[in-house]
Amino acid sequence: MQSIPIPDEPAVAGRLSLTRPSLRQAMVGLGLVLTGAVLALECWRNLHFDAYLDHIEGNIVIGGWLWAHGAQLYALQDGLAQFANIYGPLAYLADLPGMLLLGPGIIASKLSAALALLATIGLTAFRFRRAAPMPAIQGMFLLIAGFAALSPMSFWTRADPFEALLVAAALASAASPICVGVCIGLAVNFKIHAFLYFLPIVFELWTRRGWRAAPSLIACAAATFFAPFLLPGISLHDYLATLAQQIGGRARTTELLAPVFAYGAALALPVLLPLCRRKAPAVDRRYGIAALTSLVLIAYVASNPGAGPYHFLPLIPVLAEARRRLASDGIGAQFATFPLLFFAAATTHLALAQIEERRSWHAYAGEALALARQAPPGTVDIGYGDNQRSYEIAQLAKVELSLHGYPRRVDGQILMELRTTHVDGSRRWIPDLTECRTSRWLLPRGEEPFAVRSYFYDDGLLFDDAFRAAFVANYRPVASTAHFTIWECGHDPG
Amino acid sequence: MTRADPAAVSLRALGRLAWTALWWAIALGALWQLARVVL
Repeated sequence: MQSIPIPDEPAVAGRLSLTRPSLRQAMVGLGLVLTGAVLALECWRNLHFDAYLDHIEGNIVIGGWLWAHGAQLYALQDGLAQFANIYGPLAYLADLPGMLLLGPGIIASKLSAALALLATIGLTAFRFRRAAPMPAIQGMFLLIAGFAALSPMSFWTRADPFEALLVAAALASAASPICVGVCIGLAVNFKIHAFLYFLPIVFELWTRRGWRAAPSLIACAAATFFAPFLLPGISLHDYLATLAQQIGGRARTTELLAPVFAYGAALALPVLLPLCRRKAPAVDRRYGIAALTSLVLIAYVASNPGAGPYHFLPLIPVLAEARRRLASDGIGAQFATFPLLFFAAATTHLALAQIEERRSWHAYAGEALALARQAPPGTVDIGYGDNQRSYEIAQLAKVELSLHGYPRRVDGQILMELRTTHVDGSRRWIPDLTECRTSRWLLPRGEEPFAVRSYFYDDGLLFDDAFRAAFVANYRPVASTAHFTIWECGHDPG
Repeated sequence: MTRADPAAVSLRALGRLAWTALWWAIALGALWQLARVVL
């Protein structure tokens, strides 16, 4: 891979004596080491607990696993997405290697994302190896602090850690339009707006090579974007229909403006403050401005309902590169990464607490699987109760069942996405209930059936009255275990 | 050559001192908050 060479410039501001660093340099070094240790600890703990921290993670893992076993990835049902979210095919496929290698399991499904995070850090460190020490440390500090501030999204099983890796790979091969094009195509396949993360890289390529770089870049990006749609069971038409449905009808709200602004400001500061000192060469200042422009454009995407500040994550390698180039000697410029550590402290505290809280949840999923195994595959599903905790446990149990031959038939998470576009997705499943196509439902014990609400959006009921009436009319509780009530068909399923 | 106004000079020095103190407070506070998570 070709790389734009990093000049061995003396960087007065960044001159570092490794034996006698200044107090400020020692603080930055200490920040880097501490943040790295905290991120490693959090990632390690997440990798050692068999539940998820986010309710969409399981949906992604199930989609990929069922696709690998013959299901359609973007199946539509009555014109609506059956289970798929707005992510491209690679988002579903990226978690598969760990499970194909180690066998189906929740921990195995987390392996790819954790390795993607590690590879992003490794690739950036490798790229910075020839740079002056202090600018390289400043760049690495922003990279690690940004990932820690946006944890656990920096290692969750969704698209973002993989996009960050592709951006880091594009930076490492930034002189080659072919390599950059490949990275852009793959990233856009993960998420349709991912080209925004590459704008500074493409801008710099354009300033160096002009329009000559465009044909090969565009051709490679298009080829790698479309390639996964050639695989069986992945329909481009259905993907675009899903995308149009779930994005097109989504009304903008102001709910996410404050967190997106706060994260955006904290991520911009380490580039903005050195930029204001005007000490770097013009080419590097232009790169910094391009990185900040991308940040602003991504802020617009991140403030959409259902999005959030984690959309900044794949831009962090670009910001780290800008930070390395612009490293300056003013105290504000040197310490500008530290505010991110307040975010890192809060998110890490929350994630570690959630890991402890959810450590017992896998036992619920294990109990559900044991109950499912009493019936033939394809006839059992997990239902929902009436609160957020049991909803999240149900999502986890659905993963456990789907990975072991009992695929989900109904999914509450997709209903939340559809609700944001004013679509009631639960009605299409009423015939499943009246015909008892699922002969056994496992519902949280002692809770009202299917009374769960859309906790992450408008708090409305996920399953409407007609669905719930159909359920109680056609099913009756037959037994209870420690955590589940078993409901079976109350009539002859003809 | 005109001489700098001593009041303006001391104001600038004060501003620089406050700016430096602010960043040291942010850096130390952030490190402390992060360390508390794992300690």
